[in-house]
Parts: sequence; C-alpha cells; structure tokens
Amino acid sequence: MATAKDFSRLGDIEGVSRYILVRNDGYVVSENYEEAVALSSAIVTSGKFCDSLSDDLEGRRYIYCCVERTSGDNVLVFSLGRYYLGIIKHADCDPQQLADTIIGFLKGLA
Amino acid sequence: MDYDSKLSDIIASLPEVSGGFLYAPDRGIYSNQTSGVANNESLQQVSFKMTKIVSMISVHFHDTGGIRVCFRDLILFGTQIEAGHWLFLLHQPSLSPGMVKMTVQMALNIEPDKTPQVEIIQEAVVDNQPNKEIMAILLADESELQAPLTRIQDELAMYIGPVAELVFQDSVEIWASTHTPSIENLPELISMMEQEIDDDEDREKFSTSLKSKEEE
Repeated sequence: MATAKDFSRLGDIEGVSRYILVRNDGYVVSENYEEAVALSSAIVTSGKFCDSLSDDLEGRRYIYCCVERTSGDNVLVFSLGRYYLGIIKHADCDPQQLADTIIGFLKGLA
Repeated sequence: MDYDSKLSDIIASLPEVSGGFLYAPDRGIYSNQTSGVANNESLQQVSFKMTKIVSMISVHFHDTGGIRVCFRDLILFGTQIEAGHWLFLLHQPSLSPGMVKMTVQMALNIEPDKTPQVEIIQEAVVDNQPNKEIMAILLADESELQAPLTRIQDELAMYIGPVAELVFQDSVEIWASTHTPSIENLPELISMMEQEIDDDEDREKFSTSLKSKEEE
C-alpha cells in the first residue's frame, strides 16, 4: 500500500511544478504547494465531476483532466479511488507526456 | 458570429475531430454536431461539469483558458468563445492540443495566446473583483438575504462537505448575474444548489429541509 511519503516523490518528476494529493473529504494528504489547502476543494470537486462524466458518456472513464492556463502552468487532475491528485505542471513541459509519466508513477505504486 | 457554421467548419477541417457542440448556461446546448454520440441532455451535463471545473480552478488561478478531459479513445476539449458561451470538440488522442487550439482560434478569429505577462494576471484579478463585491453586499448585516443565504450554505455543507463554500460562492455569483438577487428569486438559487448534490435522496432532504425552515 502506498504511503504519503511515496507520493512525495511526485515532486521529483520532471515537469511537475507542484502536486497535491487530497482525500475525497478535502483533507490534504501530501503536497509540495504552499497553497494546497486553498486549492484542495477545487481539486476534489473537479475530480468528482470528471468521475461522473462516465454517466453522461456511455460509461467512458476519464484518465485525466487538464485545465489550461495562459501561463502554461496547466492543472492536471487524476482520480485515485477515494483520493484525487492535482498536478501543476511546468509551462515548458508537454502535458500528454507528463500525464503518461504520472500514470506510470502511479502504476508503480499500486 | 454564426458559431454553428464555424463549428461545422472546424469539424470539417480536422479529420481527427469527430464532432462538437455549443453551450451557454442560459441556452443550454444550442448546437449538437456529435452525430448521435450523446443526446442534448447528456451534453448539457457534460458542459455544466466542465465549465464548472474551469470556474472553480479559476478561483485559485486567474489565467485559466480551456479544458481537456482525456479518455482512452477520445479527448473532450472545451474553450470559452465569448462571455458564457463554450465550444466543445470531441477528437482523437492523436490530434495535438496545439493544433486544436490553433484551428479554433483561426476559425473564430481569436488572437493567439500571448506570452504570459504579469499584466494579464492583474487584469483577471481586477475582473474578478465585482463578484467578490456581490458576495459582500449580499452577505452584509443589513442585507435581507444574509440569513437565508447563510442557511442555504450551511445546509449545502451538510450534503457536499468541504467544497460547499466554493460551490455556494460560485452558484451565488452566477445566480446574481442571471437573476435579480431577491427573496423571491431564491428558489432559482436553491434549484442550482440541488444540481450540486449527486445523491437523489440527499437532494430531496436538502430541498425539504430548506422548505421546512422557510415555513418556520
């Protein structure tokens, strides 16, 4: 079983500027972002909305959601069961490539 | 601008794009060119959720743009094309985000994104101020809406937990921009809040509880 310490390695992944792991009740489990608490509810709600898209799109399960920003520091959201992972990427990093790396990392923890 | 035909142009110009639709909160889905992938009711839900996500993230980051939700065989891309109006595209994962963005910008004559500058963020912050002012006015001690709004927020928190404050604030801002904020129009706000509660039973309890408190 992965621990919060395992997730702290997310911060070492190239292209990850900040990360925040939140439980579905809004409790921040692991982060390297000083404003994690302020962002936590938006991450949880975004993840829950994305989860529920499967009801609207013939059961399709989302892999990740990316909110684009003018700065390029896009926000990625992944669902991990009762937890949601928010990633703020570096502007110069390819979001698809980063998403693949994050998915690989998460599979490694499973 | 005739967004309906622009959407058709975008779909025709990119073979990897399988369809698209147009959405505005006050009109719902007003163009569905998805060739039956989903009905208007489902697309309405999808649009509502995706625009809500952007809206919530924009409370924290003031430079948000479009949104992409990636599925195994499909990407759903959404971007705001004018105040409150959104264009959504369904496309294959092989199509790059840059190409999608560029095609949409060209079709709609939107200026490409500029290099990020501090000024852009400051403008966004300034734009956000009126919303905060609305909340402050509505929740002021002398406001007749203070008590009912606080009651609604407290009630909502019982069903959706820690995100209630954010959802409440967001919904009130939308409500205040589409209705005259008044006691008479509170049912519209309550109806918006009900949509935020996934569980049917909880939604019913929320509604019943507010009605019973109104009667008291």
